[in-house]
Amino acid sequence: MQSPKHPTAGHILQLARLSAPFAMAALCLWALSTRIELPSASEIWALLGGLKLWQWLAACVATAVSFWALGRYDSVAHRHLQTGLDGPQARRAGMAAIAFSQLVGFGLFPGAYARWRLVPGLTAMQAAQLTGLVGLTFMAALAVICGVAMLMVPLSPWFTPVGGILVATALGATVLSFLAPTLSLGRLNLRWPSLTAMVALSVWALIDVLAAGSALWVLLPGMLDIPWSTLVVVYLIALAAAILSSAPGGTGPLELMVFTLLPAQDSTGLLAALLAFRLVYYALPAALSCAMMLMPQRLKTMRAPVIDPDLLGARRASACALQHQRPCAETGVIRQNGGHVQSFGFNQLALLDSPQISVALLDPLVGELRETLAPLKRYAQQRNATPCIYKCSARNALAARQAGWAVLRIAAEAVLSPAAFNEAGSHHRQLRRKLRHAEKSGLTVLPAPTNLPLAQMEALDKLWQEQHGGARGTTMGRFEANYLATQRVFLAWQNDRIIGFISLHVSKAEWCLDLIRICPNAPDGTGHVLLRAAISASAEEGIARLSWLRSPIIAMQPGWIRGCAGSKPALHQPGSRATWPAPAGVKWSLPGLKWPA
Amino acid sequence: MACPSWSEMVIAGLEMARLINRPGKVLPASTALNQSVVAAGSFATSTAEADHEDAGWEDALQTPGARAS
Repeated sequence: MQSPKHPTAGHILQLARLSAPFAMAALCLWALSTRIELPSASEIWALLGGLKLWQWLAACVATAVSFWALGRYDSVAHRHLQTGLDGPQARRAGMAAIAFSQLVGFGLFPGAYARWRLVPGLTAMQAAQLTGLVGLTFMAALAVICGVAMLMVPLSPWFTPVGGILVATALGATVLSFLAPTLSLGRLNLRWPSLTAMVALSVWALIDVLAAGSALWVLLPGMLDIPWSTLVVVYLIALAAAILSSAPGGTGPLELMVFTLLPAQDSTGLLAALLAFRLVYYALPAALSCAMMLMPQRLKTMRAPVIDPDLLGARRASACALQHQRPCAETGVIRQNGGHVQSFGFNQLALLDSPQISVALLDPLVGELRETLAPLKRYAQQRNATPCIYKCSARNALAARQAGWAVLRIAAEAVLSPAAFNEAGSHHRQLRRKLRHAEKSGLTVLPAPTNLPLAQMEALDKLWQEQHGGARGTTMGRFEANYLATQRVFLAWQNDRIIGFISLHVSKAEWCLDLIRICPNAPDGTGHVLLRAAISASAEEGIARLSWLRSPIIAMQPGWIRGCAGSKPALHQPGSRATWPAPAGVKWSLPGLKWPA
Repeated sequence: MACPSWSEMVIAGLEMARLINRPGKVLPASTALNQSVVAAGSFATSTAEADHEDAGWEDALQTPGARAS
């Protein structure tokens, strides 16, 4: 057992870790003293005294802008971590935390402590996660900004290649984060910020550093004539060095880098400007943040209650809350894909949250889409995601457009009325031929029993996936036992063997075709017989609409649907609930009816 | 398909394409076996559930800045 009086290797390492920032600061200050001739205190004071009042005030304004942007930056980080605390108090706490930690240094701990103390409801773990996230993403954003600035203002020959590498790396990382939204490190799963969050973080970081650089520029004594763009680029690089060093307040590395990149400038004037900048940008905010941390209750009483009117009455229910009586049967896909029922007041949406978007699928389950647009936007904003409505009807698309949303027509829905379905007529002869082929081969189609023959169905699904290169996801159903249990299933039997099946989403007024799985060597017409069985069953149950599919507009080809729906096909325009007749001379097809051989 | 702006439409389009073409594991419909009550079509299938929903409303109304869940 180790005696506490004898230092262990762990203690030594801890001591080294704590003293490293001070050592770094001392080393940089020593290096600085060898590069420049340090002026006397009286010279510095004389230069500081020569600064005009407007310069001090302008620097204070620029500092305020910079910290305001940092507060906004913290809000984005809160939203990424879904703390639910991205309001004004969290922003003020973020400002205070950064003001405190940039003075104290030591990386994670001061910032986490400040956030934990100033934001009620934030746990110590969340505060640490938040501080880590802010630190890492700010470094990344600063690297991108530095890269762009180095390309735009190449003060040195090495600026261009280094800037190019930084920008290319950032673009590569962005693409990677989109394709693989979660980074798994053993048991640890890290979620990249969404593209929306990345843009927001970059913009706030840009505003912050531009304002901070401007504060330094405005404090330059009259003897120095340094262009704003040059000084800002120098400041960006010096700031990156200061953050990497973890030196308290970046003291040493920041100054050393500024003097290294501006060797021809008067060192006394530059040092005076840096000292003034330290007073305005570091000391003043740190003093304010210390006062805030001493009296966190005071901050709370200053806060007005925040109620977001858009999200009043918002609540989330699992997908099992889907009602049988809903306009679009296809909303049943959320049972499988991690979707949920999101209520905004009396309106309900079938919502799916992904790393990048919050997408409302099809038309609202209950209520009016126009009333959900603002809440959906706010809901998505709270998780740094993009709001989206996917496969809505033309009427709702119009409502979205009237509200200023961008609307894109992407698909056409093919539907038929089961009661009006008729196989007679010369233009259905191909269909009748297919049905005869299937019947001659001894094929029988039956509704699936309550206890689905899952083993055979799964084997068939595997066979189908092998032939088709796997199943797609999200709005396309995939084979899963519990999911199928909520659907209407029809099985095609041949010699006591299942050679195909289809499944349909069901609601009170509509059925919607979901899965189609047919054995590669099934007889010709197997799919047609399955679909005819579904049409007959839906007609018997008085279902008004049978939705075959929503096909990309460009995929619509001449074909079969006219035969299904009779001489006056009841076709829906993309997502439209109103029926539109097919254009004269155009027949519509269902790609899904082109069965595999 | 609708989004607040065309730039967001680009992000949403790319993400939908990713989700459809590169799906992850099949998420089980864990509650699917309870669907018989859903199929019955009532808004609140039990008093307890209705109470739970009311609690969500109260949370949303009383917690400043918090989202009901």
